[in-house]
Amino acid sequence: MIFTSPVFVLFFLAVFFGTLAIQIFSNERVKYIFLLIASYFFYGWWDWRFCFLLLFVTLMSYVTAMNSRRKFAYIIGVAIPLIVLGIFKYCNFFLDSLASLTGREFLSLQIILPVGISFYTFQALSYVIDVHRGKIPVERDFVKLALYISFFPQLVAGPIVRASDFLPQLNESGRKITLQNFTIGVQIIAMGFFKKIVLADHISVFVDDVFRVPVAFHWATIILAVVSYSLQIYFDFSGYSDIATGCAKCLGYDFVRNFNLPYISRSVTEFWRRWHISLSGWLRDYLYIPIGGNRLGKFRQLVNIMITMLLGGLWHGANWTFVFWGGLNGLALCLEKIFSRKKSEPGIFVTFGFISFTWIFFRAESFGKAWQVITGIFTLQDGISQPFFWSFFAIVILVISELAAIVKSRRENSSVVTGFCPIMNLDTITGLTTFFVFVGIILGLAFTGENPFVYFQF
Amino acid sequence: MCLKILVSGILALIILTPFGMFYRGLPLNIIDPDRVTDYRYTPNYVYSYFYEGFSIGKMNNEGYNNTFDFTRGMSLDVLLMGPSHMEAFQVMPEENTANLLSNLSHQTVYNVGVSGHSLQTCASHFEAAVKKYSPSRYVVMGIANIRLSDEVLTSVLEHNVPNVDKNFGQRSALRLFLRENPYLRFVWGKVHDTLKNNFLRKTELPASFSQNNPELLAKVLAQMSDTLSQSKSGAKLIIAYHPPVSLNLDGSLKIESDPEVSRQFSELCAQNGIYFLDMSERFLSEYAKDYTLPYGFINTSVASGHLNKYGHRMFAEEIYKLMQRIEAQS
Repeated sequence: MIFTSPVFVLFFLAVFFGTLAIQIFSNERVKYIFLLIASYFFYGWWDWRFCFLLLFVTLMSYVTAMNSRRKFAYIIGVAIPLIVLGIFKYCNFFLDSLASLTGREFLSLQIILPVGISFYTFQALSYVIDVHRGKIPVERDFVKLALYISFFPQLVAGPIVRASDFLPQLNESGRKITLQNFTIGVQIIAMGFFKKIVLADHISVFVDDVFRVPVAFHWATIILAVVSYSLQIYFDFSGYSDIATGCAKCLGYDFVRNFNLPYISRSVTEFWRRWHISLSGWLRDYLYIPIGGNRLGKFRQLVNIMITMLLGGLWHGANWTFVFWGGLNGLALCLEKIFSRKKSEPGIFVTFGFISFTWIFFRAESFGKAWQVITGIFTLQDGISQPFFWSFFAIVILVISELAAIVKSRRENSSVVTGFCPIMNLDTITGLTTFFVFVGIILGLAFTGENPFVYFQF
Repeated sequence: MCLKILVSGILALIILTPFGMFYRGLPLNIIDPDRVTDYRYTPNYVYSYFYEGFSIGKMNNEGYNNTFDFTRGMSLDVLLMGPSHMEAFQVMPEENTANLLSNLSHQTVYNVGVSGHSLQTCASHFEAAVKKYSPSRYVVMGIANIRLSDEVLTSVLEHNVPNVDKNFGQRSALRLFLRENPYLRFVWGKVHDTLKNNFLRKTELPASFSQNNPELLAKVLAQMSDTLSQSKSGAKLIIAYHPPVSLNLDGSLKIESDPEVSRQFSELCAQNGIYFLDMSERFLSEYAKDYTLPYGFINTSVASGHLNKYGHRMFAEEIYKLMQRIEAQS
């Protein structure tokens, strides 16, 4: 049940009106139980068996956090989600790597990767750690904790919501379905749909063509495909985050911003403050800082950055290409730390070029394919020319949105350029008409083939 | 609030209608009373298409994609039949096979290609087409599939090939309303496709087979050949086959067609006095020369979908070469 499928639209409408009915005729607790059941139904749509895994992780987090002052309980609370993640996501990867390293065959396990496991295990971890650190109180209501970990908008591909951000919302009585929340929410959802089914899905056609057979394409087309993938993954993932945020908003809840115009960054450091913010924030607070951060000298800081980025790469997928991608980003962050004068900032185009280059390893199925892409570019390979229309269309949209954000930030005398979703007043005929036209264009330009979200695989 | 929504909805539809006309403003299909094809389009309709490739053009007075009108008694040299590839909404009118062939051969080429009209549908309408247009030199069938199941071949022989568009009978008010507005028509098509993809079980592909049934295929080809002989127009039939292609992992072009099926088809055509043209070699040589692909557009996947302007050029040139060879022989 992906967000852009008709099944999800029906599901969300049922949840929305069900929640509204409960809000009118019943109480908050019934609403949470209803949302929890809906979230498990949503998750079980993929494979009902994994609901038990989700329940197990939730139960362990609940029990261990209750006793998190005891070191043993805390260790168990941290270890369980990591073990679950390790078994389901990385077991075969490490066995295969060991096999190719030693030249010996190991038993390969028949394990299906549960969708969203990387996201909900991280949410469970952050809850247990925050309780242990005393940053948030223990949540004694199991339903609320379970809803925090399994809340369907963020369950399968983030954003990675912190317990400190979400659990307090469940205790606020003002969190309701309102006309204002609904009108804002649907506009954010529409923006997410535009990014995903109009831009990302169309671009994926071209990117898939080139990355399947890089040796067949002209070097300029390969460069366009690499740039296109940068756009595809951004529009795909930020589109997903927008739909998640919009759905939550319709129901009365707020999620943190997950993307903030990442391709306007002047350095890789800035890029990681703008890209997948909920993950980079998580890695900073629960990995980089605990292993020492910048507190143990420059050299240790660089080592810590590399460890964080390598593990961040591994988090994305059980493949050495992801680790390498993380390593490249880590290396760039280290270099920027070493030469950390303002004047030495690489600038928007160099940063975008570097990030696009690293995406080659993220997208390619193997190092061999990545190498074909790179050699195709640097040997000025001859081949099929494909000036793909949707890539240029997406570039124009991206540039317009960035220029609009720059103008807005200048008007507001803000030192940081911040992206925004234009929200119209749907109480006026002008606002409503504009919104309907926007939805109409989305329906018209939508890609109708099957194309799941890129981040579902993680 | 309801009134605001209604007014805004109507205003939005008014704004979106030109968008629909530009992006996928195709004509409506209407039943062909002459049964030359299952259907044709709204006569004299100006269309615009940006969904796959790009084209702007005008249907002729009959509702076929031609740059000239047809009048009864008009003398035609070549009649072009076939599916959406020949209909050619994806390329500009001057770039389609019919017009290129006309320019190359200096003959009047009339195109009755409409979507869905593969070999069996063309065969089922062959007699009516020849009778109505009486082409003096050639009938060209431009087709993309020569693998025909026994069931399909039998349906041609028994004159019960299923109609391409089965929805003519459903004239509900909603359907008429959706059909009248280009934007709604286009979006309804997309919604229909999406629902079909999501909720309906996909049709099972027919089991692969090594060869067409030679007896049945020979009968179908003989039927068309006889029709042409009886018409006394002197026209010859050319079945021009443009196979699908794909890219191999080493970057070379792969012809997605079994050479044995093509060889058998060619032999059976020859036995029945029909000329068969296989585009495989030409597609391979053009790709080897400068990576030109016959299918795909700048807004779709490469090497798939409909014939692009290069594909139409290659197709027209090869048909013309074959015509020249036939003329030389006779």
